[in-house]
Amino acid sequence: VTATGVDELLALRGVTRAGLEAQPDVTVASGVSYGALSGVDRVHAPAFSPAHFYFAGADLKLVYVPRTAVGDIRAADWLERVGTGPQLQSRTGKRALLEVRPALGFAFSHDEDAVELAEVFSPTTLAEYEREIYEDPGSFVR
Amino acid sequence: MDHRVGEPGVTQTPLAPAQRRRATTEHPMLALQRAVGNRAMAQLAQRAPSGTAAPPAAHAPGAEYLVVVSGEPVLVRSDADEQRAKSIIDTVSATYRISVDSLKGVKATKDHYANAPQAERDKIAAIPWHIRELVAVKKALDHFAPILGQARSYSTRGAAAQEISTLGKVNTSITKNTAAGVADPDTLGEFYGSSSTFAIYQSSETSTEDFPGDVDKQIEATTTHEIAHGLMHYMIDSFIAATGFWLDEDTKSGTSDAEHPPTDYGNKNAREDLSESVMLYFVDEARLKSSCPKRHAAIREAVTLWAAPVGDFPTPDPNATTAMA
Repeated sequence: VTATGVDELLALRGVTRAGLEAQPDVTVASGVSYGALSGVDRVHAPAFSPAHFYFAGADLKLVYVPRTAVGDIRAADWLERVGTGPQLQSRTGKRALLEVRPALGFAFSHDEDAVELAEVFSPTTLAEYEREIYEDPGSFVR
Repeated sequence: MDHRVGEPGVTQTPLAPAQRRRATTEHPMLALQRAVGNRAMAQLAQRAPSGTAAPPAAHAPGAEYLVVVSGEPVLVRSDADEQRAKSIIDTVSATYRISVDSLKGVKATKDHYANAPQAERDKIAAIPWHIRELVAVKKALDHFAPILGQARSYSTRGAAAQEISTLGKVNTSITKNTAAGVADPDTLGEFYGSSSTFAIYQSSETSTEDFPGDVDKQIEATTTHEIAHGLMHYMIDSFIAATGFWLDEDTKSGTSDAEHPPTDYGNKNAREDLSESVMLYFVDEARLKSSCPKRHAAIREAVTLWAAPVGDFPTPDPNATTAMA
């Protein structure tokens, strides 16, 4: 799996915990949090994917794709694919925007045209996303 | 390097005595703009050498008045202040190779908020320094002296280009880089990596967010934070590894037993955490050491390495009779 296209990332929702844990280089961090998600397990098998998979038991709650995997992607290309939608303050910096497409189950942060990270989750509403996943970083003043 | 060296001279319109007197009683920015106008102010700040802003004039004792020092507008209360300002600006330029150039601070701010409405971006302007700010900025830069200017070439950072080349005093940032962006009354300072520039904003003149009642220390701290964004980012990976709090630059590890950042502000991402930690390391080391020993140790190790010998040099024989230059 290479993290290049939105659809390719969305397909990561089909990854199972059992499949990941069968990978020879898998690591599991139990009882961690991601944003508003808490009490989840973070499963990572870098030879399979640069993404980090967060599970509650066997249920995949979120896939986090770091900037090391998406840093060469143009935000304009992804915006063309996902269309316009809600923007939240990104944790990555004052000028960065978190583009949230809850019905698609996809969010990504970008500063101008540089993609910084991506999140894949089950289709939901913006209110649910903000309650269950998003953590407001607060204002950046320095 | 002083970027102004070699620029052609520009005929200036000096402040009239009446204008200069007014500057001692009005809000400095308003007085300055009234005196010379925004465009002329920009030229003044960019071009004028020291001491050409205005003819000698009488000042009420203790009142602030505007001078131009090495091309930068500075509010001073005495000739001694003016000399001190000149010493700081010139030293920062010559020793640390950082130009004090508020117009470049304005440009960097505007460039990085290109998606904000033009009317809001047009509000961004250079404003005069206060002496206390220059003193605090110099103190902040002094913390990084081993990796600035000529000294950097002898340090372990010598192979990497200096990440900061310009600093400026600017009235305001913008809240966000979108069509909804407006002039930002809260941002204290901002580092613009692609411009190698950081700006100190007007809001820093009164903020005591981290050091209640101590504006000077807060300015030093804010400036140290901004400098750290540029000069210390090279250690982000070792910092992340040392703390265990971060999975990567942008995301927390989410493990409950990791050492937390020293301030709430440091919770945003690892870069802000590093800048906050470096800020405290230099400005309130006891606080960092007691609350975040892992962060303190990681930064101490990095700072200690700055001056480590580089290369395979012969060790002088203390008993030798031949002096070594």
